[in-house]
Amino acid sequence: MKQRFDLDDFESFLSEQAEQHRMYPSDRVWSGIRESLHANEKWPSLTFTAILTTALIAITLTIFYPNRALLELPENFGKSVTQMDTSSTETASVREANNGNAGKVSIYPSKVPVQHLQTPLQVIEIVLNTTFQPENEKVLNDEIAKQDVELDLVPASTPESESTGLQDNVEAINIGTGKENLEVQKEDGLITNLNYPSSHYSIDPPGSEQVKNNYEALSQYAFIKSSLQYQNEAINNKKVKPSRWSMQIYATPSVSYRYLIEDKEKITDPASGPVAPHLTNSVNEFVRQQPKIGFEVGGAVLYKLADNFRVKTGLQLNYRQYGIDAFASSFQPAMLTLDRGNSLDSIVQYTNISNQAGYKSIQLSNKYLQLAIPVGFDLRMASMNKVDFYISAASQFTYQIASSSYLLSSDFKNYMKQPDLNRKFNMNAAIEAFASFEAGGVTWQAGPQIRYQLLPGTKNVYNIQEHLIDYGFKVGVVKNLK
Amino acid sequence: MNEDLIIDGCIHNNPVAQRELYNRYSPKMLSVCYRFAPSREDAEDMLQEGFIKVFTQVHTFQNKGAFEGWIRRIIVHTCINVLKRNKKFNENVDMDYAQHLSIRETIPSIMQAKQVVDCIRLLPVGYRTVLNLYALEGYSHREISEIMDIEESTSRSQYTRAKAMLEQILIKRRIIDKHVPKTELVHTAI
Repeated sequence: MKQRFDLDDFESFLSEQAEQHRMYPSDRVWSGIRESLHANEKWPSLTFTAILTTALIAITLTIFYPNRALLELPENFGKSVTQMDTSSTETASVREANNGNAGKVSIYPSKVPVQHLQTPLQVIEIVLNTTFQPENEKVLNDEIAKQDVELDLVPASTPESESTGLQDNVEAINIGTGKENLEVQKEDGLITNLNYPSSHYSIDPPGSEQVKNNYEALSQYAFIKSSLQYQNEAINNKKVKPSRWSMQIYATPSVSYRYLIEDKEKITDPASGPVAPHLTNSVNEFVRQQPKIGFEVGGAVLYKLADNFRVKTGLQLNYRQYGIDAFASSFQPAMLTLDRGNSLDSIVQYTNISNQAGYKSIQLSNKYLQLAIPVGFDLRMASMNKVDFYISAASQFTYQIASSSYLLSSDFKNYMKQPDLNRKFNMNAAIEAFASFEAGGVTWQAGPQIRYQLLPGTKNVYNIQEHLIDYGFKVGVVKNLK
Repeated sequence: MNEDLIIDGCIHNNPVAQRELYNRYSPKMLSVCYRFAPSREDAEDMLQEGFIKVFTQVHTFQNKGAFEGWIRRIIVHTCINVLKRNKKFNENVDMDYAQHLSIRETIPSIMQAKQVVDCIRLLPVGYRTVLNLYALEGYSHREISEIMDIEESTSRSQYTRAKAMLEQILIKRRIIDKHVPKTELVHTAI
């Protein structure tokens, strides 16, 4: 192809007319181009965000979750710890407890979490149908150590065990052998300790009658201890302390507003280019905006640090939007002034949306879809008739998944789309006050919320900063984790 | 933003530079596409495909000649490829075609340039393509024959017919008077 000079008048006329002709593509063309060129770049960000979120939740649950026994069965659950000799005699108490399952010694960890017990004793069920043999001592000790059980065996030589009179809160129970008594210590009707005041806990030669008796007594002690503990647990079931952990889901219908802050230095600086040096009023006086309904939905994990204070984190989705009154007009050039640090730059774009006048009024919508990780706290301020009143605050790390927004030109005369200037990562702050009450086995909460976007919606190079603020009413439900 | 910065930004896949390049050249390039395409939607599709090629091949631009010319060549070739894909060239054309065009079909326009372009688009696609390439894009008949996979003589004959047909249409729409030199062309009322 080359410049041709052999055109006749008609051809020259055609060429001249064709060169003057201009057409302005619709938004979908650029969207398609941009999608084709940059679509893949979105996924690493989303993937990274998803991985980061999952990792944070996993780490939180792994490190701080207080009772992993809730999540898994112990390895030895339901299994025989060791095969025992069945030749020895059984005590009456043990026989009753065995229900005929002879020949095994099984130690079952409790399904009840430690922190739910009213007593400091670990619940452990030891079902015996025989006395222990000396070679099984290590097995028992290891198993007891594994289960973190403290057997408070008090030697007869100590002053406490030798005393003839028991303390007021200690009672003696005959454990059936006729030889030994078990001291049961109580506080407020709850068992707090069991003492088996045997006088023989030295290890005698294997097979000796003394060792045999020791283990028989120990077995009975453990059995009674666990039986009493179960009974105690059953009686006080309603007094079990709730977990410090809870889960929350919530939804917040909201209306979004924005206010704009312009960099007057650039706007009034003639070197900034053809902007609007005559403008001295705030940019907010040149735009007409309408709030629109948005929402946020999410889930959170809460951890109670004190009775009236809990911290929380989670994942939430924000959809926020607002309307802008504008005019449809003929295409005209519009300019965005960009501050690139050492120099000023500009983008000129043709647009048919005017902020001043046109042949038809239209309303634009700026829409944002965001993924956020809120981190915050709830503080209970008052309680009244089973209703608790809280204040809450949270910071939200926000990633903008998608957006459709119009930017105001630097002379405030036109609107145009320039999605490349939108900020992907942002930070929001939210404060709320809510009332909380229990119903249907869960805790409901409702109250007003204000959320403010700390960083401008666009990158710093754009000289008009947009700050979003949402007013919403949050409704949530909280379920305690057992 | 000057052109060198834009090109450099596009080479580095900078979205702002890409948008600036698009803003600067898309109105003119869409007009080019529109002259080749059967509809505005098709023209926008061609423009989109063309600009994707521009952005992905911008590193091959070697500052030999104008950057706009380089973009324009890519856009024109994209248009031709799209038309080839859709097999639009193989149409039989009656030379009385222009006679059947009613003056009522004229789309009111306030711009003569737009009227002329609209008239070009009334030509059958084969004629239109040859006319666009020869008279408006500056390709020779030999180059056109290679681009369109047709004989050079076919290109010449199609161009001659296209030119005659377009002349008829422009006269019928009172954009030009019959057989008058360029300086006396009628500028229709705006």
